[in-house]
Amino acid sequence: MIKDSLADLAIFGGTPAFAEPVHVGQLNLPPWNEFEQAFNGIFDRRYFTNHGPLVQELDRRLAGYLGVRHVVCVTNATVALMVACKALDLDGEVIVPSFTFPATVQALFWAGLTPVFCDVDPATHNISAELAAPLVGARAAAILGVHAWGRAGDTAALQDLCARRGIHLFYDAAHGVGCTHDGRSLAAFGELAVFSFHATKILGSGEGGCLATDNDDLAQRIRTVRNFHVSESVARVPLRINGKMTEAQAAMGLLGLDHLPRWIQRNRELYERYRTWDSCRSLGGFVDYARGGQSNCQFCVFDIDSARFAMSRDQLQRLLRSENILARRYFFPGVHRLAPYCTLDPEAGARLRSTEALCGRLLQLPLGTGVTADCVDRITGVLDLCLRHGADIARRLPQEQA
Amino acid sequence: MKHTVEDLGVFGGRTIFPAARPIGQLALPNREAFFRLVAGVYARRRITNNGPLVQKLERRLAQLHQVRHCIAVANASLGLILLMQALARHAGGEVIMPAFTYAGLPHLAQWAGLRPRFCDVEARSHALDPACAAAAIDDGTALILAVHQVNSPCFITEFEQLSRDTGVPLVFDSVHGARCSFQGRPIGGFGRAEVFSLHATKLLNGFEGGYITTSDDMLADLLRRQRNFGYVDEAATAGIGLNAKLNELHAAAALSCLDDLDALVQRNQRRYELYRAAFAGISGLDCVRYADNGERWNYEFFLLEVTDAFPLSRNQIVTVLRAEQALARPYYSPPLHLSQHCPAFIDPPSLPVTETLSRRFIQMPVGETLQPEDISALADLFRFMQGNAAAIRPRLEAAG
Repeated sequence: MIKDSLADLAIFGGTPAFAEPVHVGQLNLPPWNEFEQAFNGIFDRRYFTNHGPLVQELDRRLAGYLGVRHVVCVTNATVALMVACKALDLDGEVIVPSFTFPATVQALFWAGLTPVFCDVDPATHNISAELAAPLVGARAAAILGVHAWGRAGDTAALQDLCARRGIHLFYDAAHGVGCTHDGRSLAAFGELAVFSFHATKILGSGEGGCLATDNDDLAQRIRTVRNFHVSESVARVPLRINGKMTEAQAAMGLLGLDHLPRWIQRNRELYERYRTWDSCRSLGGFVDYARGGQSNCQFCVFDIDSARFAMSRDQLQRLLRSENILARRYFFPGVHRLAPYCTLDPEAGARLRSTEALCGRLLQLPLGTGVTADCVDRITGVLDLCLRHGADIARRLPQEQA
Repeated sequence: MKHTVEDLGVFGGRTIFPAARPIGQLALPNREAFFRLVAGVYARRRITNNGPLVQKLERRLAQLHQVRHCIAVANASLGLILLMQALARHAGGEVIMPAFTYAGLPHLAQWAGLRPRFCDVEARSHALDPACAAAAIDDGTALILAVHQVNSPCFITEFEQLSRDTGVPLVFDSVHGARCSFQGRPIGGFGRAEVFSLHATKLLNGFEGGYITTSDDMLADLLRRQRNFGYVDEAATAGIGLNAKLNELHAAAALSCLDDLDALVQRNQRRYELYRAAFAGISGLDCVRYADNGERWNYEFFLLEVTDAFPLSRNQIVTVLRAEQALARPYYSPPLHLSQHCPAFIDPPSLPVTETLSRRFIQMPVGETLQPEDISALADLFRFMQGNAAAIRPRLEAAG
């Protein structure tokens, strides 16, 4: 049913647009028969973890897919970032966006490093050399860039800046499996890149992540840092951890790789459906992935024009949630507003203007396995109603909490 | 059966075992149970983020250990990092720990922002010596990390007393204390918290994984937050956490092993008894025993002690064994303070008991892939080594 009057909205007592919650996040799973076969193989081999055959195969296949010499799969992408810091032997400050998932910054803490928050370019949602350059101080060890939404920013200029200042450059490409920039995968930028295989990503291994690099020595250090085994002690490193991926995770990753083109294609179709609606309304609300390369389209990032909707992002989110459309604020808030950074530097927001603005405007709409073209139409139908009656709705909505 | 020295795998002969005989448990999850549980994961499309299987596993383990809380984590290392960081008296302080233990511990202390302080162990139990620990405690001490050995709980009464007297928080690395008891109570309920492993080589196979047991409500809340980036709700964190979430597939595997746990311990005990019978009468060898004192043991390891009366050295024996596909290894050797795992900023202390013990033991193949006839074959091999040591030793030394 397409809603057409205010009384149809669940927040005003109407029936929710969806009987069951519709989630943001990919949650792609390989077909059951393939799962059974793969796990029977694991049980037959009785090889469960410790650099098993499936992990080795996944390392190899991902290296091929990402176009790099080395991929090392690990427990999850947070652990991957912690491993990266020790493999690069960093000490001191790391320049990092605040507009990211908290783990990007938290990994630095566990590695004994100090984050220096950098604002982002509103056009790319990523840090730029221009914004980062003034933050490179005497204690700077590296820049940790984030390819938000799997969309690269100004990689060449950042590379140039880091080379000139003699500091490391590495990337959190957690969103970026299946994305390209200048015709190359996101693994091609920086000394190493970290990818996530969390269930909500395009390629899932339950939990999981990997480090990708073209540098042979760095790969040896990464392999050494991520375990304590004598047989895998192949380089001198400052610290080690158990970051091993299991055969169970690798099995999911391998099956996922087989289905990845299909999943990306499906995301694109759904994303295009959202975009077509958007351009009919001349909103320009959806992040443009077409610039600069291919995208996995795993995120449906909607940049709300509060003037057109006559309501705030948070009001719209609440309204959508009452329809069982579990839209998410993401990233929200900027990491500088999370503990302990909010108390260490309460004024940071003044330097992070674009970060603050994006955190206040962006809303993730559902896209992924649980979503069909019909779902998209029903979601945009609710958005249409909000567009038409925004002012009325805002007036009738319960007051937002301060 | 070996007839001549040339028959030894190490000198090019055919190996005794056609496939590796590992030193871990490698318990097989019940397939039917596993696939049934994962069918539910597929139906829910919930593969991680504190899913229902993780919660079910936590409930069952809390019951097993008779504690109020079990917090499942992606592996025991991440659990130890979170726990040490949560309880340390002050950042940058020292964690008192043994050096006759798991190679990861000094690394994990540093990830938690702390420094390892190695103390000696007690000779009979191999467990951290409370007197040595007490002597090392000062204002810089942040935490005591006592480690249960497979053959002995780690002086629980003494360490709990020491912790009360000094105010230094006490936690246990209980990876080898799973399904064991102390004074009739399950290991898991002592100190502020205890950490267990779900690694495939351990008693309960969750591929990788771990869990923390505690009856401290506040600590449990904190650890639950910390394993999920410190989130208190979807827009706020209470501090700097990380991702230590156990996924549903690993939880499904552990759950599918749980019903067989006591039977596995019985099979371990049977293998241990077979080992003891098979090796009885080989002079120069002894083994670590599980005390017959009414406590519960998991019989997870068979640890062979090589005395000076045996004509080959401990390391020579291990070389011979490994060449036969028996993946034996020197037990906790070299000790951590004399190994690559000792941080550069530490002057290695002298730990005489640890150093002596670290030269004596062999961790022998165990677990579900080891057959009774394998144990006889291993005993035969030791008899052969003993009888032919004069010929074996020079060739091993020549090979370096």
